[in-house]
Amino acid sequence: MPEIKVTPLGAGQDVGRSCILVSIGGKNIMLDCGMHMGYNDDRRFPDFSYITQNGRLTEFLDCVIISHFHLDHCGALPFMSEMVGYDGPIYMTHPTKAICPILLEDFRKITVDKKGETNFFTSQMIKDCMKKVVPLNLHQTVQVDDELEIKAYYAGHVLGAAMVQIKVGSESVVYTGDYNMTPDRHLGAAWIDKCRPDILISESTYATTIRDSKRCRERDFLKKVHESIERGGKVLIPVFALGRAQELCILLETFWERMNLKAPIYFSTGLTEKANHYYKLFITWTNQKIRKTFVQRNMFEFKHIKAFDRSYADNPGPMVVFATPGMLHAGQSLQIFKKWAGNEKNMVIMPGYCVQGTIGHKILNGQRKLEMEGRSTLDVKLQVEYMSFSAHADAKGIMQLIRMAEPRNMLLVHGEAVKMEFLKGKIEQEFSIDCHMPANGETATVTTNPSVPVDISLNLLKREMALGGPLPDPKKPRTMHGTLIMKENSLKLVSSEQALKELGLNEHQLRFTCRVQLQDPHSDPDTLNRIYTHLKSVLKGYTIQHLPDGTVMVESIVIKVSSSAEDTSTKVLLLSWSYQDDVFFCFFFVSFLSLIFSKQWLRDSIDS
Amino acid sequence: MDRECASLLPSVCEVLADSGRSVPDDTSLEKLLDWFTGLTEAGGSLLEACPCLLKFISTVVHNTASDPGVLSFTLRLTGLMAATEDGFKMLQERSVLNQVFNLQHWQEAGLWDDPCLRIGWIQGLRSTLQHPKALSFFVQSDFIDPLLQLQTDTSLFVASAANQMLAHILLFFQKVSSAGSNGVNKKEEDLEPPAITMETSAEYSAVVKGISEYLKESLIPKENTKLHQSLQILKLLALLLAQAGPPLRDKLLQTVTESLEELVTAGCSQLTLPLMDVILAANRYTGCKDSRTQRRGDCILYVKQTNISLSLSLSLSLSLSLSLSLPSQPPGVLPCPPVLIVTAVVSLLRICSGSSSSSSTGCSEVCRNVIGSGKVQKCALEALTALNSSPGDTVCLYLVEVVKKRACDMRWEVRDSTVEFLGHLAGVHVSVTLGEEVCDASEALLGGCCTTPLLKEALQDTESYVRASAISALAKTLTHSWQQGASIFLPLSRLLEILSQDTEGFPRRAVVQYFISWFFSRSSHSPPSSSTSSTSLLMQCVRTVLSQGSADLDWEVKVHTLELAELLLDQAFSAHREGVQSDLARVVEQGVISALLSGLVDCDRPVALKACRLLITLRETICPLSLGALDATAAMATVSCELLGKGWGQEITKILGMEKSDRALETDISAQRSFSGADGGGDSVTVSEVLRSLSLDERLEVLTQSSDHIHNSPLSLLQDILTASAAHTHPDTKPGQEVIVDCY
Repeated sequence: MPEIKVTPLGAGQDVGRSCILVSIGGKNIMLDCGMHMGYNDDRRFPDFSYITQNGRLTEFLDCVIISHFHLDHCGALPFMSEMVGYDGPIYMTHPTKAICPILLEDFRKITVDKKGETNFFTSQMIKDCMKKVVPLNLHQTVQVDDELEIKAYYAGHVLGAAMVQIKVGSESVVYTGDYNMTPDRHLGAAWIDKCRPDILISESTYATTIRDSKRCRERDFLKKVHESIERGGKVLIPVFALGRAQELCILLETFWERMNLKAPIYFSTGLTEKANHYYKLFITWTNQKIRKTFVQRNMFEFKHIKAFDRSYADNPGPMVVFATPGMLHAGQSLQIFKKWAGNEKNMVIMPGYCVQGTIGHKILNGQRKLEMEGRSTLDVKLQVEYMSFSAHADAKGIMQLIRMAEPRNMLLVHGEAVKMEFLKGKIEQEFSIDCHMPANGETATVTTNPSVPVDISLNLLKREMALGGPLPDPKKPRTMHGTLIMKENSLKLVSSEQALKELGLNEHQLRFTCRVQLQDPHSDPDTLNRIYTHLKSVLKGYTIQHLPDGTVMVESIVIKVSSSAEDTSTKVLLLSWSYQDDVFFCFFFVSFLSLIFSKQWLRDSIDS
Repeated sequence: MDRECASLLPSVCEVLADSGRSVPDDTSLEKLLDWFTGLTEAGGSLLEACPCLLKFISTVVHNTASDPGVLSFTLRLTGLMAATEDGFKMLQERSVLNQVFNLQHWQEAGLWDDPCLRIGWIQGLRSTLQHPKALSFFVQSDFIDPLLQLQTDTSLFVASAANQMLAHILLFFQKVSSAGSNGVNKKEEDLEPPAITMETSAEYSAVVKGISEYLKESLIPKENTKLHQSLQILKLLALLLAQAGPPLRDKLLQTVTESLEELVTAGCSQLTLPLMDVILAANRYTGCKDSRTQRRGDCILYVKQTNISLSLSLSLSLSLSLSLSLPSQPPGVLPCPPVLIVTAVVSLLRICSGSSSSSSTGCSEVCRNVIGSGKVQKCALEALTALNSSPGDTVCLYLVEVVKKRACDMRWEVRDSTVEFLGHLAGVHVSVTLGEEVCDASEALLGGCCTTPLLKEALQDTESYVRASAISALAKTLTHSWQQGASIFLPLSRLLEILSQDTEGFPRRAVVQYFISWFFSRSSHSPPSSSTSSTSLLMQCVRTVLSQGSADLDWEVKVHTLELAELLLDQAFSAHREGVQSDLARVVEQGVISALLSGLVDCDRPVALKACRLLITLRETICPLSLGALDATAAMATVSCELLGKGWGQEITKILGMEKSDRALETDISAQRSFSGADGGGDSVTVSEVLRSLSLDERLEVLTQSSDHIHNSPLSLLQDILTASAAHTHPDTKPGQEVIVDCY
């Protein structure tokens, strides 16, 4: 039985760096190639030597597919393609291809900014890597090679995020990447066909969470910002260049407009224009509301949000600043944080997760005294808030997607083991399908039962029709006789004559023979005649001929009579038939035997 | 270990050992282990430095409810502690090792099913196996069979770790059986060779025998579908043969050669690549030319033949890289006339751009891979650049045609590679024409009025990568043009426009680098006649570049701007030593000082660091600290610079103000006057005073450290583990407040 194998190198029972190997129909595909920000050495990348040694990745992998631009999904790509060496195709959607290098450059900057970072890719490597990328459109089937095809579906989550269906013959796998089943302020909800894949590989970040409504979280966020501003405080929101930042910007912009607020909102390092550019360029990837209103007003052209200059941080009075990077590990967000940390009127809102070793991680866990360079200590007096705005499907959303796609098997990745276990139970109970959750390095194997499509020749169909019987009906399978030929990678059922012709073969006849002895005192022709008469009376509807050469033919069965030299009453019947009539011969032989052992036959023999 | 860490470690152990507490993320455990490894490698004894670890280990091991991650960590930690003979002895005396590595215990507790525990077991044992006592322990505990079983574990990671471990045992202790043999892996050789006793030798032989027999028996798959084991064994063999010394290598080869041959003959495609690895590893020593080697050679040949279609595209890139390395070789070693290579490469390029195709099956396979492939095109173009020989008129014509076509391709990837090619060509051309021969093809492209219009066009490209490559290519043509004395295409207004308006960082970075190249090429090649005009033109632009570059939003633009500032400083102060004051006045006028000061307060560390270093150099030049403050100030008193009322100027003013109040008593009146009115308008300060008052040396120290060394320190890690645990177990955590590991 054919098998599909799924081996996570990352994202197996954890969240960190997604990298999942799928082996389907003899093809090897890598789904995502992410980076773990918690490490400063090569451990941040998946260990590709598990796949193949000596860097023969190009030979082993048929393609790499990247689901979206987050670094835990694409951050190891230049390392793999340019440093380890991979020259095969890489697929991602148009927006992902455009935005990916920005995020990679952003991260490269952080590594340069930090000390002692070695073995990291350069700008040139990022560019060379992006040159290997083949962009995908939604719902367009892309033929990777003669057998392997892929198709992208909208996933929400971030601009350009896609789920992808991978198909080889009749076997298929769907990989969700990160997805969101509820629309937000700038993106729509994930959607997929009822494509019934053999395996649905789904993220499970919020496997056990039914998230409170988005509205609730938004209200909470706005309330907190507003309160802080009202008391004259400054609000810092550390973000990554593109993604959640834009959603929060829209949120604040609308709120400022409605409440007629005057406190300035700033966005750091010129990313507003860049983001604007991409959201304009890929407007079709945003949600319906943004697309509709785009003609009158571009949602991303903000009235209240201005570009930030580093000296503004010292200005008196309240303000809100979006600054990069998102975990407070370097650069502008860290610089502003240092300036504002000492004042309890101020606030920092962390809209996402922070890895160990970052200031973000420390303050989220409640550290209030931070060591800084030059042996100084920073007293954190400002208010620290965590409000996750990352858009993942929650437990309800995951179940909804399963209902949409109707997979034969489920496989969970990108989540914590304990939470996965819980969801796995729920899925198996509700949908009665197997749910796998391999750890990193472990392989989940699913046996498939592929249906192989076969073409049938019109002539053969016509011939079947001529034999009578009901018209062909897909719901009522029936037996057909024909020859299965494989030509140019497709299967065809044709008549044997056509097969011979198409394959350029000669026909050979195969006949079976047997001898039957019986006691009959009549002369040979008489015996034959008697047989002929009897068969004629018993086998109605069959072609039975008495031929001048002293043989009787029933269909292809030839019967000949001869008598033994010593004993003329002992007759030897020679029977011969073609292999096609093998089944018929059995039937015939039974009637034949019943005939020669019938009372009538025996009486006639004795009489004579 | 410092005192603070030592005082925190017991609490951290408590958190980790308490199965009720939430466990820190796996990176924390890994980093903790890194720290312990570092301490051990530095020669310290973990047991002595942190006695709490012993208690921690036994608590964790006896608690079957421990988190598998923590258990795995504990096993590895134990192995690390037992890596020295002393540590091993102490752990053995307290029967810790028997508990920790007791397989039955883990199996009965149902924990063995967790792959991370199995990895911990293997890696822990592996760390231990650094001395003969550990080998005895390993052999006496009968660990060889379970280890061989793990070699085909369902987990890729476990199987690989087991392979590494098997290789380690055989390689590390191989000296035991043949003291003084060569060819041992260098890395292993660095470690202290184990003391040899009869007992150890016997144990090692037993291990070698056990493993070799297993290799021999299991190399040939029992069923055609069960290839996993053969695959794993081939990987192990490749590891071993690549590093084993002669006695071990010969023994291994003796054992497996027949099976290997059988495998090769069976011709299973899935095993072809690992088989090749083994054969190559075995064939490492070409010196020994016995019949066995010959047989191995045959094997290689066979494998290569069966594998030919697979490596078709590989050999393509191989031949390209071969041709790339050609120029460094003497001309006699060319495999065929250069024209043939050039023709081949050009036709490959034509296939790449879709203008040529072939119908044969092998070719269509290659075409599919090659069409639009940036890597192949890049390689091909680089090969052409490197080949550098006269390819003949027809090929030249083709090349020009191909380049022109590619320059207006729909895909930015193709356009960019083309522009990059022209840049490379210009670069190579310079180095060639400095010699004697001139390449026809590059002349046709560079001199034949092809390059400049194409690059000019590319400056307007919609893709920022292409614009950047065009600017870099133009910078390379500068030198070529200077040499030829040809009229230079200087798209200065367009470049300055890109610097001030382009929304993407790459072209802006390229613009600043263009001016750096100009600066260089002008000083090295420019003929005296055109020197004056080009210099004044350059200097006019440089001012704009400095002011715009240092105000840029991209950190690399700013770093490049500082590099340009460095060149200007070097030029100003190296040539005329006598008039320091007028030199200083000129760099102030050029905007160099403003660029440096603005960089100093930048939030991106590389920028601030570079600026700080340059400012210190400048300070050493114009007012060395050895000189009395008064002398220097007196000499430079007249040279001052403007501080803008906002942005970096404000920030500098603030620092100066703070410094001033710190040293209120020693403040001189002139400085006070300069620093006072920083409200809005520009302010003028003397350069020497600024340089003296910015505490540059302290800043340099902080900037050199970066925050990273603090936040990745062991102390920070221990603190993080403690606070994370406290935060997660805090009773009043609001629902929905839980920090969920999601994405970034």
